Amino acid sequence: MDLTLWTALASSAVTMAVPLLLAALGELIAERAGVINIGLEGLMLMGAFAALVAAMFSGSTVLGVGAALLVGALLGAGFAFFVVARGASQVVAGTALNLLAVGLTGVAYRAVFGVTGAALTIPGSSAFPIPGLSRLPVMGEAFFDRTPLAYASFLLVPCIDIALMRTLPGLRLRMVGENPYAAETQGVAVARTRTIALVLCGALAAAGGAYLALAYARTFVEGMSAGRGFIALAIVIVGRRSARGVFLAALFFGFATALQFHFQALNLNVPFQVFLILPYVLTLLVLAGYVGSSGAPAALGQPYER
Amino acid sequence: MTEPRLRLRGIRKRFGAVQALADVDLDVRPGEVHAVLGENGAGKSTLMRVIYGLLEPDGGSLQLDGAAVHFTSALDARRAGIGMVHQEFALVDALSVAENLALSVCPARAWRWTRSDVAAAARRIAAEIGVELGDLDRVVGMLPVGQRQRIEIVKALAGDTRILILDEPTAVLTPNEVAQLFTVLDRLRSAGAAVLFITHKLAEVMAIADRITVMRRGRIVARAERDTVTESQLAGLMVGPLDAPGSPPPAAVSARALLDVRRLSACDGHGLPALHDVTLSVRGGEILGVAGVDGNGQAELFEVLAGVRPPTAGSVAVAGTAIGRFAPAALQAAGVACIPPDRLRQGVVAQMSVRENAVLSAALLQRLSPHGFTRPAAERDAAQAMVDAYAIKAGSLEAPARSLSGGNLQKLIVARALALEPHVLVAANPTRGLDVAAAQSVYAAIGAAIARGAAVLLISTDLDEILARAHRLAVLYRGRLSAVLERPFATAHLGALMAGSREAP
Amino acid sequence: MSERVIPPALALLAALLISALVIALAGADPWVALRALASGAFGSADAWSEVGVRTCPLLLTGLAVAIAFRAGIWNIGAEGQLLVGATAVAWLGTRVDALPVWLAVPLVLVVAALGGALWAAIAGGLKLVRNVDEVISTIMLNFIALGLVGFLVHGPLMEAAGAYPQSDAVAAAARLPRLFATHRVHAGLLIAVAAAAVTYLLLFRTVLGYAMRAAGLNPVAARLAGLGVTRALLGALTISGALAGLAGGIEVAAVTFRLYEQFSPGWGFTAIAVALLGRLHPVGVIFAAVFFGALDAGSTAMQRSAGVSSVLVSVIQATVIFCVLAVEQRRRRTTAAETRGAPAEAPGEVA
Repeated sequence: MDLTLWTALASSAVTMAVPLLLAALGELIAERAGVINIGLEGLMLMGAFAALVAAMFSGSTVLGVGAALLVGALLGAGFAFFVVARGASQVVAGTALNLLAVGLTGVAYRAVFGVTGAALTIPGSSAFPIPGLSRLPVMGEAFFDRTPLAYASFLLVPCIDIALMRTLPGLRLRMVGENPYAAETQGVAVARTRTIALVLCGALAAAGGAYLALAYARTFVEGMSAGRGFIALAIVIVGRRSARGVFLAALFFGFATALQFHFQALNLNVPFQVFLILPYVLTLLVLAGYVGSSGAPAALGQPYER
Repeated sequence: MTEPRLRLRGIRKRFGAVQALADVDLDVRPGEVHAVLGENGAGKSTLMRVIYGLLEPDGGSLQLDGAAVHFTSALDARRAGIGMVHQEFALVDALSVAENLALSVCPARAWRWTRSDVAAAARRIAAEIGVELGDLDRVVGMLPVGQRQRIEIVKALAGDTRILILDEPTAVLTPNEVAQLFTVLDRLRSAGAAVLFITHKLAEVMAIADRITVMRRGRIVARAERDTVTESQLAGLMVGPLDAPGSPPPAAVSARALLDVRRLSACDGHGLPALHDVTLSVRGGEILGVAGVDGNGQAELFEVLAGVRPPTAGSVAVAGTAIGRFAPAALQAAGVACIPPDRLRQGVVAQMSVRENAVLSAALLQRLSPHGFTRPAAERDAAQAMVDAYAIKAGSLEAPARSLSGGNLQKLIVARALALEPHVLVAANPTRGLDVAAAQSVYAAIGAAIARGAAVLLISTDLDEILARAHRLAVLYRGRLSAVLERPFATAHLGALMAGSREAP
Repeated sequence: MSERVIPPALALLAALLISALVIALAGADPWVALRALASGAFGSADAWSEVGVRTCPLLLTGLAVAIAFRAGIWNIGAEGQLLVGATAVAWLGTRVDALPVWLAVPLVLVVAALGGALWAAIAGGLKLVRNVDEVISTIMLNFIALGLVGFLVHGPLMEAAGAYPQSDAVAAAARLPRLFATHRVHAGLLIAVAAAAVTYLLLFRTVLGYAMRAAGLNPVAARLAGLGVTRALLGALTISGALAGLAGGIEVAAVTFRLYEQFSPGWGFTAIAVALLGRLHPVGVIFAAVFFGALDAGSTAMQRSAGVSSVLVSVIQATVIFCVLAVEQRRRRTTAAETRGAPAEAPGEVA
């Protein structure tokens, strides 16, 4: 296999990975605070749509991303109302969020753009190659010739890592996820912490959707998130709920997803669908293979009642 | 005399029908270790929760360093300078020592925390009390209990702590760790701190306390300086005179042991040994009481006999037949029925109806619905029979179980347990939280069962109950069962056994 | 009884109001849209028939979700389970043309149920043996099933003509008959209603169902009572899968006769809304399924007449769920974690 193929593969892998990474980082924050949000799929979809509409009407991709962040944050706050304030089932609320997003984006899409959905192309984000580094073989184009949002996602990895592990607010968040009772005895506001975590989660997942719309597809298609929200869930587990782990897992799953676009060139004699289901099969294998504890925060998924 | 650092006057607290605290006065001085002694139900923990702001008293006052204080939350108390080491440590197992301490030792508004900052502050406190914190990066969950407690103490001392309260601190420690703890308390005392120490363990009180306050049934029954009192005197004060109403009916005891437990050992939920070599036998027609303070293996003993906890060693035989498989259905089939200690969480499905709860038993279902299809009519009859026989006040058979009062729920559970005339009844705290009338009916039911020839194992943390009802009794302490005592029971001896004292009465 | 009906009724009302708002925001007239919706659902015999057709899969998958949730099992995989059931029928259905109808049809249905049950059992096995959370595993299995279908209809199961990525039509012997010659509504609906009756019997008239319900409400007490909790939970998941599989199989055997990608418009997820609205009770699920079926049937008319995308029903579904969540009191399940090790402290407890 020649270098061009590897380069293309690496580049695709990172392109696929970025939205996954953003959503997974958001979910990481939520799960570390003890809340499981399976509505990532819906959040990505809403983020994609919001970014698209904003970018189209303003001509600016920055505003597009901003719109996505706003929408995601609002949805996150709404989700927090149900699962934190009302103690509702996180699984059910997440499912409802996905349904809502599918419906709202579908209706809004047709309302704004008409039934035919005529060629929606938007300027899209431009790539900003980093001088020097972007010339590296294989990795150069993959990592260093990217849109600002992609760079932001890379930078978020160490930022979130530091925030969670080295700051007091991050410590409080982790305590809330492990032992809300103990956290409360130390003066941590459990409900508020979880709400903030969900707002961040929503914003980041929506940003992932924004990337899909602005940098990847440059358009909006109904259901374009195509299961990525669920893969992000798996990434958080596979990455053992650490920012670094999530980064590597996102690359891995991005690679697995990218394979489907290059499989012809790869000359692998397997059905196309194998690549489609590969990430999911991998998740199951990883989950089944974990020996001992899965590393989940001890209070994950349990509504906290004082 | 030095001004007391903490002064309580006339503290009262009532929970429903139960007066948990009545007229409690307490002083704690700086430079002393003050022990509050009493057995389960005496009110010690309730008192501590009041001091720590987790409960508001119905009446009375608190003064800290002469100034009146009123706490509405634990955070209030903490800020006022009350440090508490809980019985169930408020530590996060998955995080490191440094991370657990960071919130307490770092300034509240800070953004970052570094290991070195935490280390510096923590070690300073630790040095004052002679504690070695060790590697701050170690995960707390991996540490031995004694070390975790020391971390809790350091945490409680961070900030301007005026008084340190320890709730049953030695309950989970090995003798070695206890000695280490006492060294720490010694240092605190020399440094002029005020320490309040709740316990039920006599030997330790004698070892470390300066002054002792004894509580019983929510009241202070005695105050003493350590030098002026002996262990056995304290034991007698803790347990009180034998004032149980009546003695149990004479046992028509058969010679045959219906429950035979030999050298039973088991671990608790964390995998730590909880029962060691327990041997007991209960004959038909008698009640064998197992007394002891909560946390000494009672829960595990119950769980083994209920079939939800497999033993690690030993054997159990019911009516001569050895138990092969430890599962609830198998034990029920062998003729063992249980009354669990927590009726709402373990004994019923609160949202289901009275009728459906009346048959919440594999053995009973097997009898009533042998072919896998339930028969509501048969269930209704069975439920109605229980309601009638035990005077259970329920709106209707279809009312949800949670609409029943505690006493009626318990009666339902007892009725269900006895419905199939088991050989053995294992009852854990059967009258906890019940009023006198409900308790009487529970014992009437048990009495009827005995008259029929059943064997009853009564596991209870309420010593009065056991003294009143059991024909014979033994004491469970740290997972080991004492020798079985016959009537008449010497209460002082009992108190000593429960507190782990080795001093002969 | 009223405490069980009022919250869902309130939720429905709120959902309709919010949907009207959404429609208005989308630039259409809510009144026109909702009226079109209603007439598309109930305005004619044809409409009623259509409702019957749309209700069938929703009823079966709704029952599937309801029974799993009752037992405390989060089966989010009804979608994948129904696809596997559909696949099984698409495969077998073309091979039974030699058999008489009274043999072929039941055979096909059994195979559908088995397919769904097996698919669910994978998640069950993973949970039992490796303690894999069933939420994630059933979701993953949904996608794997999707990929499987894609692979099969492009390959091994592709129709002989090779023109479209779909399976061959199932043999006439395996097809479920229509209830009326002139309308699409089919015998599958009767099977679905029968399934609801069977589910009711199972849950409320058998010891196994009793164990499932007890385990779902209070696993600790259920275990202590010796009810065979593990068996009950696995049974619930498997039966749930079977019902979902049956849903998929019936769709193939009665409506589409072929398997193809995009086979399901998300019945497995709508089923969650159906189950919740129906309060997890078979009778309630029937009503909820009819409601959502009517929504579905009317949505096409709504799109045609009022220009509001039919995907609005997803909004209504989601709003229904959120409203139910909002008005439902916090019914806490007694979890095992609460009892294990934690000091049993309740008001009234003197410690």
